[in-house]
Amino acid sequence: MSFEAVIGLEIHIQLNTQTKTFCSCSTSFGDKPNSHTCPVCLGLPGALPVFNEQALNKGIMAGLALKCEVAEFSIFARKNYFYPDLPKSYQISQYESPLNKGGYVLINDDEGKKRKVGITRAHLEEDAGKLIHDENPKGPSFVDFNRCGVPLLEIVTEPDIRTPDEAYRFLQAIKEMMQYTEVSECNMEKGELRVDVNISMRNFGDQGFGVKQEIKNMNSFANVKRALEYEVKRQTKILRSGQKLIQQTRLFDVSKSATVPMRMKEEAHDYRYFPDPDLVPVTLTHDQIERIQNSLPELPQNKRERLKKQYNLTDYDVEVLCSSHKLANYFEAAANGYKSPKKIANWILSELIRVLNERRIEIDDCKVTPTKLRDLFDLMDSKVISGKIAKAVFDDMVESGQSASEIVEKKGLKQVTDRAEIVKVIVETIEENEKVVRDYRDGKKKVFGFLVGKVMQKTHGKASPKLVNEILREKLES
Amino acid sequence: MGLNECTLVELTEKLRIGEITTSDIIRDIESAITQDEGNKYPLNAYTSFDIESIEKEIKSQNKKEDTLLKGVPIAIKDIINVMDTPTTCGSGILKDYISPYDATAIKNLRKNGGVPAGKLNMDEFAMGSSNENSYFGVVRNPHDRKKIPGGSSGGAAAAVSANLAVAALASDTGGSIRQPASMCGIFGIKPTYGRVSRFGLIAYASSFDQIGPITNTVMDGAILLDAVSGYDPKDSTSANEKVPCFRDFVGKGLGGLRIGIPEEYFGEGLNSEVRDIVERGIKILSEANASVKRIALKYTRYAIACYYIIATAEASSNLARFDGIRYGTRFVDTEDLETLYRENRNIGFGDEVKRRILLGTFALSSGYYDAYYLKAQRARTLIREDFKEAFREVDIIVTPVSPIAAWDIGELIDDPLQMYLSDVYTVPVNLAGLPAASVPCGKTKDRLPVGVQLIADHFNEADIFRVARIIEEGEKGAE
Amino acid sequence: MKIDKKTIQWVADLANLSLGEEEELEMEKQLLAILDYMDILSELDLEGVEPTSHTLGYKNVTREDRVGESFEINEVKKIAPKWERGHFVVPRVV
Repeated sequence: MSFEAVIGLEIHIQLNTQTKTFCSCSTSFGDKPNSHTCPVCLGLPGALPVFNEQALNKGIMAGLALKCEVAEFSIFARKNYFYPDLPKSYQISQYESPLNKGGYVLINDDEGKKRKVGITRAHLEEDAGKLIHDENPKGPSFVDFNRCGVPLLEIVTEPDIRTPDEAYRFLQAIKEMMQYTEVSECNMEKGELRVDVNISMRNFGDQGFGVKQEIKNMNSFANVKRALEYEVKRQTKILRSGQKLIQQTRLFDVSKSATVPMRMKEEAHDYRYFPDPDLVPVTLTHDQIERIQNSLPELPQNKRERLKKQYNLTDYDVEVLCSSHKLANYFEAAANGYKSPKKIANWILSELIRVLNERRIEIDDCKVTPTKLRDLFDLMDSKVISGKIAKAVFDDMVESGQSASEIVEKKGLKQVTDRAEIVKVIVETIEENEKVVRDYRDGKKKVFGFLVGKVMQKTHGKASPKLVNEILREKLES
Repeated sequence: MGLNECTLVELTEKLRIGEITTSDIIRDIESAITQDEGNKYPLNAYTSFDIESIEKEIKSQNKKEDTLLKGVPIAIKDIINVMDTPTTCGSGILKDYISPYDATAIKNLRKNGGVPAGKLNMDEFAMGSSNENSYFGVVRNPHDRKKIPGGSSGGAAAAVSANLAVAALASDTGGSIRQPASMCGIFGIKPTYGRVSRFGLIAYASSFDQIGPITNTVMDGAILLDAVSGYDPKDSTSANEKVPCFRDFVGKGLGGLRIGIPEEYFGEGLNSEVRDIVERGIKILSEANASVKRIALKYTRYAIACYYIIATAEASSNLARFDGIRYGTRFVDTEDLETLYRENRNIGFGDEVKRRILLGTFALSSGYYDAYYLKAQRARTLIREDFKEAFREVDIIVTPVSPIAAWDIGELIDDPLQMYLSDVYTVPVNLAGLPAASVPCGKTKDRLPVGVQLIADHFNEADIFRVARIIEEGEKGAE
Repeated sequence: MKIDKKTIQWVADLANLSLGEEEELEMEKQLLAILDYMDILSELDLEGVEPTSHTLGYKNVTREDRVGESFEINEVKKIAPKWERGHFVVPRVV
């Protein structure tokens, strides 16, 4: 008997705002613990929440990108439970009337066919604080409330995903979308994207659902995939042996590359959701939603198709270029109006990505702007420098931030195109390499390259390769 | 006559001409408090009255000449946050809590030259109608010290009535300003929900809570309400509406206002002495040529059930934050989280608070949400509509505040339901978010004060001040 | 509505209150009476009646996304019942 996995995801994405959801404390990451706190986010008696308009805008944009129906009426509810990282002992979230409902994301399945993954809902809520535990296992825990109240979008999918690879691709697609729309930076190291998964197994062809396992709080797509792969194996084995699964909440243990049951107290769970009386409903008109729809930036899938067509690129080119909207935008800025955009794409895919990786920097931090890259290409096209020199100039540009022409000028890298000067060097080279010249004239034509190399050496690579070839051949044949 | 016995109007004038200073008033208040403490049954109106911190407040006061209050000290119910001052809410769980911020109402008060001076005793978390539920002990009624002063703002009403404060800021969730004002024979008004910012008012039931003044005169009430009202961007439920100058309406006459008398408020359960006093109030108005009309508020009998479900539901969530983790007193520090939560909440909260938390938790729990919470929210709509309809025909609705005058301390403490039922005339107002005041209107044969309740439509506090002044004058004339 | 000992315990658990046995009995008795009284609402025909959460019906109250004032760490430290190394200290949770 063969089984298939039924997978659904819950993704928490930090919305890209300056301030928290309900107070004006900064969302900035990595600062002194508890330094971004106020009566509201510490849940002090008497403090009241006021909703951040930017969190709303980002939430709507996310919903539209996910092809959801954006609600014309939504409300905040209180989700009541006790935990030390939750100052009010309730989380402000959306329950009955979420901001976004019923969307989908298109992904490729494992055969490369397009498939829809349904989005049940995408609602707004506030994050909790961060718990840190004493090194001593008997020691206490510590709470930092800087993250507490930061706006999140919780995306809940339908159980439409069938394999760990699909889950991985789906997450990639979500991340790209959120970055393209600038809803979130999705910086995984900062915990800006966290994933819970639900997975159960069933017989192929069945419509029902098996016993669900939940794996909580993963912040790497690779780990999500590994955890799911592990679960598929584990559950299949149990089912094959005729045993029954029990519904569980598990955690992914990176060091063991395995999921382990989460230790949880047997406690009553009843969140007692009710509309938060401190907050008022959010209503949107059809026009407002449409305006935001119209201002939505191009989404990854559309961008890939357009760039491919417009600039005559390969699937591979657009796949890599569009993995980040910033890279894609960089490409367009540099390639726009240029005669052979493919050359620019190649340069970005090889040279630019190389330096970004070497230097571990983001495209935003790269000193070579698209305009500066275009200048470099112009120097190559007008034969002021050769392609080889151009690579060295590019590295210099990345380092110094200077323009290509400044560097060429300063370092005297201008290609030598003065015929007389090149003739002089070639004559010298012929004199110094009598034996080789004789070999050439005796028919050993392949030593030509050696002589070209000698000439280039003498000119420190600056001689125009085209002219060197032409003149050298002329002199040798004569 | 001590300065503590003066009205706000008198004090601001004395301060204006430089005849006295704020410290002079404080001195007289302090000696009145000291004198009261010598009584066999002290009123116990304050949770804290710290001269040192009041002196600090005086130093930092807004000394601009054109302020409304010109440095008058105002006592504050201990449910409102005053920066660097104990803010206990009458609870053990906050007994050592020093607030790190000012409520917006306090900011407004300071801006208008008021000086927060002393924190007033109250029922724990404003839960109670008798002020017997305070961690800091029972408050007594200055008119008869064996009687309750009313609640939950019992400390505020007792202090103002006995001149241990010249005026007070309090809060009203289901009658907590009006009922003690009635029982202590002074003026108290709960403005329209949203009129005064709730930012910094410790929440009992968020959709009902509202700050308002308790004062010796109607004019004082108008002045103090003028000082604290207004839209606050820090409170999402704050009303972005124009605030009229309320003191301008005191003494302006009836101006053709129509008075409505709802029969449901005069039925079974209303003490006959109280009824006589309220009817006297109505007579004063008709003698002032008001048109008086019988009206119906047919859903009144459902108000108590509706109110106690919603209020306790909201309270169960609002009070969940008191867990000994971030602030307040950690009575017990254990290595087990659950024990820490439970022990601290168990020790920190009094019986009435626990009872309401349990009731509210139940009303919200799965399986009972629809039958209790949701049903009450629907019933609330009917009660609100009831008033809306009534205000098509009349401008002010006149009713009793409480079905009985102040009762004996201890009399109802073991019968919470009976205690709840005594709120029958005040809670409908909070359910509908309306403004309402209690104006002294006479005394029972046992010399216990009784107030009359004036209810207006949303944001029509000005009408209440017009009518209240007429009753105040008429009542004085009768004495 | 019939509320029994089990319900009281369950509700007390949810609210993180630990009641003594005597207290539990007393609460059961009182809540039973109160909930009995609440049944008065069953007389109402509430079919199609919208619930009221806010009496004034305000909507769309938001604020600008601009950073404002936060506490100084010392102010936070002052209110914490237990504080160490810049953090609130709580019993170990894992």
